[in-house]
This record gives sequence, structure tokens and C-alpha cells, in this order.
Amino acid sequence: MSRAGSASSKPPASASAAGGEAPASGKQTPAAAAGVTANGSSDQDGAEGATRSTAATPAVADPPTASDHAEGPASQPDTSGGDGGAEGEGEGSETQVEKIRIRKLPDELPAGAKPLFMSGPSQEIFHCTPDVDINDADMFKLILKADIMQDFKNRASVCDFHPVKSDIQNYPGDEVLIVMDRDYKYGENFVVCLTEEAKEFFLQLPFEEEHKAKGGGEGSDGEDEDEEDIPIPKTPIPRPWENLGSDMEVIEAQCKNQRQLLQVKYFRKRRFFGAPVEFSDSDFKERAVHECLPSSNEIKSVPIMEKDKAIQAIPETIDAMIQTTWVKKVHMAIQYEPRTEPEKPAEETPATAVTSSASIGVGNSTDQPPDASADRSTSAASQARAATPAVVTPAPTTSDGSDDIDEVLRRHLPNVLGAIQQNNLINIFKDNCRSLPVEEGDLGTKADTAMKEYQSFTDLKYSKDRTSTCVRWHPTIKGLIGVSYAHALTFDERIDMSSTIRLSQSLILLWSFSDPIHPLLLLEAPEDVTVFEFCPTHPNIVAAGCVSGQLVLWDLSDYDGKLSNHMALTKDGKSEGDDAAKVDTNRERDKNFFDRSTKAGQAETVHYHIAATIEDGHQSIVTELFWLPSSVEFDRMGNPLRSKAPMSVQIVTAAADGSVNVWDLRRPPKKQNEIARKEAGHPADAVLKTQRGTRIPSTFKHLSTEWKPYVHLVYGKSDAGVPYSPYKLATRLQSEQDKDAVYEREIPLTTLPPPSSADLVALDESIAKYYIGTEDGELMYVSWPFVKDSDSAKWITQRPLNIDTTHSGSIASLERSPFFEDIILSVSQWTFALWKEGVEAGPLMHSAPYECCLTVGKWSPTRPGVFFIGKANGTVEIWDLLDKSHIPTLSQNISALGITTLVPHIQKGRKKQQVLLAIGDRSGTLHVTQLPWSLAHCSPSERTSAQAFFEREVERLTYMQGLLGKNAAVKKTRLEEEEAIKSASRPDSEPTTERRARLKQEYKEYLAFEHKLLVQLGVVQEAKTDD
Amino acid sequence: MAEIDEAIKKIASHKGVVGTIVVNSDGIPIRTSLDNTTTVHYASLIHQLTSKARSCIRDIDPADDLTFLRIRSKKHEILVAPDKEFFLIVVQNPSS
Repeated sequence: MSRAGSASSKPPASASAAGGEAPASGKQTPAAAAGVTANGSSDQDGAEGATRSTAATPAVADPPTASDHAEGPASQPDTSGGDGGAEGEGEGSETQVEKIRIRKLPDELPAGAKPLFMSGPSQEIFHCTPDVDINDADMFKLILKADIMQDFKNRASVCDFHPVKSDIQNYPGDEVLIVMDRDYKYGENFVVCLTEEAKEFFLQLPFEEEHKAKGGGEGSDGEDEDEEDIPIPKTPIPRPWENLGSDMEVIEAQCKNQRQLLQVKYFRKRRFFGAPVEFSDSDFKERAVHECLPSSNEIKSVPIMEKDKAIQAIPETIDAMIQTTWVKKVHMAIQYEPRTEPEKPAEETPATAVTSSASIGVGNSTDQPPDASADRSTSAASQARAATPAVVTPAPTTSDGSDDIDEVLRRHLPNVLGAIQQNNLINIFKDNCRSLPVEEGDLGTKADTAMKEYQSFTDLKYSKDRTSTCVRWHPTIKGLIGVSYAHALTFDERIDMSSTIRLSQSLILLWSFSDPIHPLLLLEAPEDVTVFEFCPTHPNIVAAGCVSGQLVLWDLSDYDGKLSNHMALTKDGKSEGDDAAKVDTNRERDKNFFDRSTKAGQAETVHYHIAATIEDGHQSIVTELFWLPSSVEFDRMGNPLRSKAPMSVQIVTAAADGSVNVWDLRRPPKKQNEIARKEAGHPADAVLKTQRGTRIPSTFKHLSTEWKPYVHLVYGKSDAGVPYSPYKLATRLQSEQDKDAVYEREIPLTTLPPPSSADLVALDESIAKYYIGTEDGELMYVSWPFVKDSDSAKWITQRPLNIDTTHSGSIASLERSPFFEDIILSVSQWTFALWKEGVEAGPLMHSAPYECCLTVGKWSPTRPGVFFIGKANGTVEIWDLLDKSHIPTLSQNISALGITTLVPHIQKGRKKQQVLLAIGDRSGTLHVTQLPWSLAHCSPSERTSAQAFFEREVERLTYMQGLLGKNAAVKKTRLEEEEAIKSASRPDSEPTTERRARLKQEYKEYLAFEHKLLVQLGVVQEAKTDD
Repeated sequence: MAEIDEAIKKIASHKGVVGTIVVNSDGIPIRTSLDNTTTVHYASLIHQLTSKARSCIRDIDPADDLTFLRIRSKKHEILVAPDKEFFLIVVQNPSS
């Protein structure tokens, strides 16, 4: 027991001893290693202690078993079992177990053997370090006695053999055996044999195989003790601890007080505890209140900027097979000959076959009789003669076949008749959708009912304080519009200020839609232009009529490129400023140069090229000017003829001086030319040239010497010598314009022959008549050509066919409807009216007098029932006759000043066309407005309904006329009757005395009658009368 | 014979009927109310078209057969009543 107790108490002591030695020696035993690690970290201490305790447990647990074992060998299996369990634990801790031959130390030390502790240095000295010099397989070490004795001398009591010094000294042999006791089986790590017998005992210990099997199982099996395998667990060899800097981390991780702890003391007066709290507003500055604003440092969510995604779309496919039977194509020919019944009875020529011209086959022609053609003609003649269906006798059919035919016909007749009737009843192919009205509610929003200002043009220098007199859209180039301006002066003012007016330019401005401030081109005229027009076939020629009555011409061929590219040019001009710094290529510079030349000097001014002299022109302001279409020209007698010239060559002008002139651009006839040449050096011409100082383009060279009206028509009033003063004309000639006329740039004027009416065809009679609106408000219906006066044998203008004086003021506008040639809109100062050509009873419609002057009226180019009226108060009225005919559909104020001119234009866009209305006002501003959709777009059935409207109006007019006539007659008769009655009943010769007596008599009679009546009624007593 | 003429007259009495042609199975016109050239033209072309139409119908369904064929053109409508032995062709101008 005492030994066991020493054994149990020894290991901790040895461990601590080892712990003390280990750092010094550097070589550690397992226990020492454990001690070192325990030193390294106090935290690990507990864990390490635990492991050590487990290692120590068998030793601690051993003593009772050992004591049991000492008392009785019978209990051997039990102890071995416990041992095995301990070994099992050890085995579990070992990573690997080798199959080695080892000796198992006996449970009881033999006599002469003693446990001995050998420290690391001693092990080194005696070369018995476990696992280096000795191991489990060879656990014995023979140490020379002399070495030990030497050690005694060297180390004295420190020597491990000191406890057994005397035994060693008495040892008989030379070599002392020490046996490694790894498991501290006997209490120390070594066993020393102090006798020869003990030495022999250990050396003869039998080897035994160590098995992997559990030691406990083996033990319980009761195997022989000697043969029992002793698994020797490998001692875990801890690696030496190296400082790699982790100690610093450990130190850093430690939390230590760097300074003295702060003390915070909160206190509050006792009386405030539980006291009611009062909140109030306070100035945060005074009270040093900190405002805690919400922090802006929010956790920002990181948006997913990029994401890889893959989608694969696979179309569904189906494999299908269809087999169609393919019929082999075979060439086939059918030969047929229609056989006509001959004129003669059938039996005579039954075989006369007549081949038709459509018959196929060459062989047929050989069979043809020689007189086939003759026969054919006769057969055709016979067919023509027979109004009933020609009877064709079929060659192959017999009389039996006729029954079949009848039967077939009978069978199919109902079908066929039904189909025919169906076709006649309903046209199934009629597109009903097309005739549906489109505009209702489609785009009829409120915003869309008014005109929208598209653009407005004004020039501070040229158009300010002037009134725009005429607006014309360029016939071919999109977005180009010309406006003529005149000084807003009366005739007298004009005379007074003639000197100042002469100094200022009289211009037509050509505006481009791309630049509303700078005009594209200025056309300079000798006098203010009142009316101008582009030539319909050659838009480069512009003709204008002036205040002075002159007619002026320009040829813009030189500016053709500029005009047609006006959009592009202005764009370049805009970018010019940006590009100024850069040095561009030559081409670019050239372009810029061109731009600058136009930009810097404002727009280029084009002087007029040709002007008729004042003597030759009108005597008054030119009020109407239009080009005749290329298909019409006048001859000298004023007959409108079908022209063969390739361009429009004639201009019709009208002025208030009572004349209508036709001007021809072609070379005058030879004779006149010669006369003109005789008068060479015409003073007016010379002056004209020097004044202008510009060259006359070759186009008009032939006109430079002399340009006189080709036809001069004067309409005189019959009673007085004063002529009518035509203001506006409405002819049918313009409508003769070919729709698909080709606009050309080259002007073939010089090559054209002089005008002659030699082989020209006269036009329709109706075209030769036209309307004239005069200054006095008369609407005259006249015919063009001159007639020979029977009295004087002179050629004079025809008398007006009809004169209507419905209008009271001068006619401001007169225009034929673009849809109905015979419907005319006339606008006078206070009223407007609609007329129908040929209806002489009066206007179809006559407006109530307006409160302000009307200045212009124009038909809509897109809708038959719509026209525009411009007023002097700056308002534009749009009338839609099919909507309302008593008030305008739309009345919109466009300008503060009066409207002077108004021209609609169809602007064709890529997708849809829009109708623009160019409106010139008295201040010289040109407004271009866009018509609302509903007023610009024509519904399919509109034309017919407009026609119906006008027809109805005509009917109404005739009916009213008839009614008026009837009424007048009735009234007249009634008046006459009344007159007759009056005259009959009037007592004209009765003397007054007689009459008075008669009246007295009548009164008396009446009184008597009354009295009698009263008596009868019993109202008055009979007696009363007595009184 | 009279019956045919009567039937053709009956057809012609309807509005817009331009002409009536009776064609036999070989495409040879038997009766016509049109002039020769037109008749031959119509007869041969319509006969081919009708045979084609009939074979088409029969190919789709062998038990089926063409009973009536109406061809609408811009100017006319051609009504064809095919039978085993004869075709009846009526040309109509429905817009008249």
C-alpha cells in the first residue's frame, strides 16, 4: 500500500520536477512538454491539467488493483482488464499502432529490481533516451557500472542512481541493466536491476505480438498473461513552441486599464423627483440645445449594376409531312369551231363551219373554205340582225341532247337567277368602312378646334410699319413663301409723301420656314407691290403688279440653288458660329463664304429685271394678277384658245382704271419689233437701264425694249363714259391647269415663237365667260372676246351679260371654288356672298352685314364647304357650310391689326398633309397658322353633300324668286282691289247738312229701338215713357 | 329548243346581264347571246377554269362536287353552273 501510495503521489511531483527542468534542458519528456505548454498560456492550463490527470488516472486508479493483485493472483484477469482499458484509452490517443514485437513488463517487480527515475540529462549521459536510444521493442539498456560510478563522482547526489548507490557499488557484474518503464508501471520511468537474477529475468522476458484488438476484450478472454499483446501507445510528441509573434496578439487582445477609471456622478435635487414636467418652446441657441438631425450616413444599398443573365428562346418546331398527289401535266389542245346557223334553211348547208378568229390550231385553217372571211362577215351580220340570242347548232349534239340541255337549264336556272339577283341587290364588295365619317370624335379634342400658330415672319427693317399686300406660296419648293409689302397710306398721303417713299425700297420678301427673322431673298420693285405671283410652270419667274400700275418681272434662275436648298443653307448658317474657330476644308470654307455673303449683308436683293413702262401699264393700282396656265392663251381678239406653248406665257392683270390686260412674255411679232427698233434709244428704256444698273437676263432680253399688253380690254358703262373698275376677276381659265404639269427650271422664253393664233383651237364656250368684281361692288358676268360694234365697226368689249349689285362696297375678293367651278365666293366690304354661275336671280347665300370691314375671302383647298374670311379687326373666320351656315364655325383672332391677305396652302408631309394658312396683317407680320384637323380634312362624302347643299340653295332661290313674284302679283292685285274699294266707297259729294240730318234720324231710330227693347225686357216701365 | 331560248331570255331580262352561254362538256359553245369571238373566248377559258375548279374540289374530297362557280372581276361577275354534260355561263355587270 505504501508503494502504491508513493506511486500515486509521485507522478505529479515528477511532472512538476520535469516542468522545472524542461526549459533548461530543451528536450522534453511528455510530461515536460505538457508543462511547457501549460506555462505558455494560463488558459490552457486547465485543459492541460485535465489531460495530465487522465494520463495520471490509471496510475491513481492502479494502486487498489495493484494491491489486489499483490494479495491474490486470481484477480489477475480483472486488473488486466482494467489495464487493457487504460491501454485502450492510450491507444485511442495514439494516431497509429504498429505491429511490433514488444515485451510486456511483468506486473510485479522481481527481487533486485527497483524503479528509478532518470532525468533528461541522465538519459543523455547514459544514452538511454526513450525513442532515441531505446524504444518499446528494445526497452533494455546495459550501462557499464564504471560509467555509473563515474557519474557518482561527477554529479554526486544529483546523479539519478544516487538512491541505489550502494546497490550499484555492490553490483557484481560490469553492466547494469535498466529497463524503460514508459507507463510508470512501477512508479518511475525506468527500472534498474540491481542483481544478476533480476537482470536475467528481464532479458528473458518473452516477446508478444501486439494486436489491434481491444486490450479489454483480450483480457476478458483470459488469455495467457505472457502471450498478451501489449499495445504501446505512441507518445504524442509536441513540437517545440516557437514564438512567431502571436504573443503580441495575445498581449494586444488583453484588456488592461491604461488610465484611472472615470467617475460620473448624477444627482438631482430631491424636490424634483416626481414633480410635474412642463414642456415649452425654447430657443435652441440660448439653451444650447443640440439638434439631432437625421444622419445622412445611411447604409447605402449597393445597386446591382451588372448582371449576367441568359435566356434562350427556342421556337417550337413541329415536323409535319403532307403529301399531295402531283398530276403530271400533259399538253392538251381543244379544237373548237363555233357553227352558226346559216341564213338559209339548215338543211341546205349543214356542214358550213365557220371558224372564229379565236380558234386554235393550224390544221383548221386548211379545212377552212376559201370564202371563210366572207362567211364570217355574213354570220356576224346575221347575228347583228338577230337581236335574240344567236342560235348555234352544235355539231356533235343530236336532237336527244336538247332534252339534256333543257334539263340542265331547268336545274340551274334558279341558282343562276338567284345569284344575279343577289348581285343586283347587294354589292358585297362595297367597302362600307370607307364611307364612314372619320372625323367625329377621332381627333376632336378641344385643343384641336382652334388654329395653331405655326410660324410668324417679320423683318424689322423691311416689313415694319408696312402692310402686307399679297402672300404667295412657292408652287414647288416646300417651306418657301413670298410676301409683298406696301406703305400703309391712302392715295393722298402717298402723294404727299412721295419723296420719302421713293427713298425706301419696295420689296417682296421671300421667307424660308427655317429662318423666321432673316428673309431669304428680297425682290425689289420700282413701286410698292400690290399683287404678285410665281409662274405656275416656271416658278423662277415672278410677276408683280405695282401701285403705279406697272407690271414687273424677275428671273430668279441665278438663285435657284439657294431657293431650293433654303433649309440646308440656314442650318449651315447656324452652325457657322461654332465652326468659326476651326479651320475647315476648302469646300467647307467655300460654303461658309457663300453663307456669310448672304448672312452678313442680310438677304440678297434682286432688282426687277423687266418693268412695263408706266404709259403702257395700268393707269391705276394693279389689283389682280394671275398667270394663265400653259394650256391656255389669248389671241389678239381676246379669245381664249388652247395653247401649245410649253410654259405659261401670259399674265392677266386687272386694275381699277377699268381695264383688263393680258401680257405675253414671248417675243412680240416681227412687225412691232421693227417699229420698236426704229425707236431705238427709247428714253424711258435708257433711264430704266441706268437706274437699275443691272444686266437684263437673257430670258427677258426680247422684252427689254418694249413690253406692252397683248390684249387690252376696257369695260365701259353704257350710260356714262365712266368705265367699270374691275378689282378682282374670277375666271375658269386657271382651273385649266394640268394637274400633272412638270415644273421646269430652264425657261425657254427666247426660243418660243412670237404669239400667233394661227392654228390654235378655241376653248369651250363656258370658259370664255368670267366674273368681274368692281370697285363699286358690282359683280359683272362678262365674256372675253371683243365684238365688232355694229355702229362704228370698231372692235369693242362685249357688254356684261349680267350685273348684280348685291354688294355695296368694293369687291375685296372673288374666287371660284376649287371643287365646284361654278360656285363663286365674293367678299365685299361689309358682306360676303356665294354665287352660282348661270343663276342670275341673285346670290345663293348672302351674309348679314358685318360690323367691321371684310378684307379677304378664300376657299379651302381641301374641303368643298369651307372658306375663310379675313376681317379688318384681325379676326379670321372659318365657315363650314355643311356644319353651320348662319355663323362661322371658328372665329379666331390672329392679329391686333387688320388682316390684309390670307392664303391657304396644302403642305404635304411624309405621313400626312396639313393645311397651313398664311395670314398677312396690316403691321407687316406674316402669320402662318395650322388649321385644326377637322377643318382641314375632307370626309369622303363631303363633296356630294356640299354639292347637294348648293343645289338646295339654288332650288330655294328659284322657289323664293317664284314666291316673290307671286307675292308681288298678289300684293299688287290686292292693292288694286283695295284701291278700287276705297275709291268706290268714298262719299265724296254729300253735303254736310244733309248728312247731319241723316245721322240724327238714324240716332232717333236707334233710341226708339232701344226703348222698345228695354220695355220688352221689363227694365223700363211703360209709364215712364209717359213721364 | 324553245325552252332553252326561254330560259336564256329569262336570264337576260335581269338587270346587268351581259350574256349567257351554254357550253357542252368539250368546251364547245352550243347557245350564246354574245358575239362569236367573245363566246369562244369565254367558253374555252371558263371551261378550263371550271374543270380545274372541279378537279380541285374533288381532290379535296372525292365525294364532293362543284355545283356553282362565281367569279367576281372588277367589271363583271361570271356565274358558272357546271353540269355533267353542259355548262351554263352567265356574264353579269353588277354595277350597271
